[in-house]
Amino acid sequence: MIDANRLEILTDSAKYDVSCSSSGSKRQNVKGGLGNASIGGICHSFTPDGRCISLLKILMSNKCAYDCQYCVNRRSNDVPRASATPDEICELTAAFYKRNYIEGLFLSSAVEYSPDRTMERLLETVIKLRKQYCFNGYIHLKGIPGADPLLIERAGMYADRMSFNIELPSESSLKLLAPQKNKAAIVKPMRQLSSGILREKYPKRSRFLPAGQTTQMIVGASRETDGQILRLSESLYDAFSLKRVYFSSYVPVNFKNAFLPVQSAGLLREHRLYQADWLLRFYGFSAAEIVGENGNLAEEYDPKCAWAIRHMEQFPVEVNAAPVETLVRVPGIGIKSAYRIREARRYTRLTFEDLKKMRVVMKRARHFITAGGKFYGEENFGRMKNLLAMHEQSENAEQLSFLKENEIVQSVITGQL
Amino acid sequence: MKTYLCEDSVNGLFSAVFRAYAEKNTAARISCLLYEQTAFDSEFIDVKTDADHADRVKAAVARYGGNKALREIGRAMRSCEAEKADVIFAYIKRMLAEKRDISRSFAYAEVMPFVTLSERVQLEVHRFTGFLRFEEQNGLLYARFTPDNDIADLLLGHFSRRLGELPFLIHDARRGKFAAWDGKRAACFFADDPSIRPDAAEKELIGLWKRYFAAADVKSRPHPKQQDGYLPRRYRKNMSEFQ
Repeated sequence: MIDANRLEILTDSAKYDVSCSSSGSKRQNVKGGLGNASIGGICHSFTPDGRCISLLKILMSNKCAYDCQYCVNRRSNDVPRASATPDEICELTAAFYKRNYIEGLFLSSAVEYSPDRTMERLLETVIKLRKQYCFNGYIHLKGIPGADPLLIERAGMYADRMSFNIELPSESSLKLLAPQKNKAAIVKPMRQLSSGILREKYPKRSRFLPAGQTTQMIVGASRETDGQILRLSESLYDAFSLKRVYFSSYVPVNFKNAFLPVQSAGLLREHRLYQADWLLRFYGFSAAEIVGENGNLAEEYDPKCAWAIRHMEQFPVEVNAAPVETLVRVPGIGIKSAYRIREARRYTRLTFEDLKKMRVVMKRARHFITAGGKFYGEENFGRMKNLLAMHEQSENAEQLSFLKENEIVQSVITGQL
Repeated sequence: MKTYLCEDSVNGLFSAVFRAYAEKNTAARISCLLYEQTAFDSEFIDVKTDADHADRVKAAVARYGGNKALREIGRAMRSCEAEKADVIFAYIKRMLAEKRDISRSFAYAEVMPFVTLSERVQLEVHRFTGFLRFEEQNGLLYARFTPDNDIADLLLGHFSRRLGELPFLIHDARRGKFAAWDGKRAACFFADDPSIRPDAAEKELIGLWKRYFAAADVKSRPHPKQQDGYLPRRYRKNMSEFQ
């Protein structure tokens, strides 16, 4: 079994990767095997920074040949170094899994010697875990850009999900802060995985990356606007059928480089980007609609509310008549509430009181809807904006930090932040 | 106001519903609390569980709401809420009056309180699929927990599929209830606290997990309110990383 010191070093080095989801796969257990995957994902604990622990997130090695300026594991950084063997990782995963500490393994690695050598070690571990340890729990494997396509293809047969990190939102930032990486080397394997995932849609028993692929980019280490970040996310969803783009607010780990900020981008910016990402994926918005004129997301309102304020000509909408696609564009009405409204209005003409009974959050929605032809919002546009900003301010700390119980169910099931 | 006092089970509740209809007292309340505190002019009627009566109510519910309604009622009855029997009674009354499935009629006053009861139980089941902590002792995985709702046996399916041939014991310490799996069969029973404590090897593994948990935290971004929101403090007393 791995010793506690190395475990600590390898965990500490892996924790800045924000992807934590264990959803999307319904891999089943087999006779004599250990584990299965839950399609909605399961959170097993939460650390004091509020993040979920779902997978054993660990590096095989943090001895990196690269010197990416934003990364804690860069070659020039003076941090304790360690590596683990495939058997140590497998043993630890199985032991933690049996005790229900984790949902599976999230395995990544610094580039030790070369991308091929690193990818081989990762692949060896995953194959061992599946075959020798008969492990059928969730595996998220980080791909190493520049590794041989055959290694990547093979990894896709054993992992539930793979990801190659975009790292920074533009090629110029990549050149500036991670000169050993380049856009082509990152995008190429993403395209390869995407074609693998799509090709495997045809056979009935799909085994290739059942939970698809994701990526992550660091926000706030370089100067890109929210608009650039969201447009890139949108094109990644379109081009590579990604399940998810993660945003990691830059945590200062390098104070020697003049190009890097000394302060974190902050939780609010990250939170707004996730809200916008949600609108892209599930609410039918495009990046162009979400982003304001200055290219950034508004801080004072959530992105849907900001959009609605810019498009008051489309409101109010009548809840007894509007289609679901319109209802979900109303600030305060989410997917679940929109479907509840659609169901409920089949049996009765909905009033404002009915909506409250149905637990539709009316604080924001009331300014954008009518119920049975009656409007209960603020008619003065200026006053309405102030009210919305006040609600947002009072809820902000709560929303960032404390989702209500039912929202947690949704969040857990869908991965929504 | 009359209050029918029944056993805390689906059959107990259905027997009370039968009695309320038989006595044309559908405006009455139903409670499954041993000590019910109500207005001073309340009249209490003890209802003994009667399988035939319960079956007749069950058939009526199934006729309009299908098996889904029976499942939802079964789940709602596992709730720890004091008002659960009354909430379910109101739902059944509305369903029988409308003679149809009302589960999607969210604007009805009787529906959302019932849906919430059931959802809260479901939420707790989901939470404990993640928050339950097993300790291995001589090949047996033992988990002690204190859920709000009566959910121990609802976790059996999830963990038996997951752990396959590994035997485990889930112990609801609040109710003295055990859900067991021997690798082939499941069982549910009540017993005294077995006082199982981790041995040295297990303590070492718990130590590793605690080191992992501490190292995974980004200390420069503390967010305890978010942690509290997702992982309520009352659940932490049986989670090894918080000991």
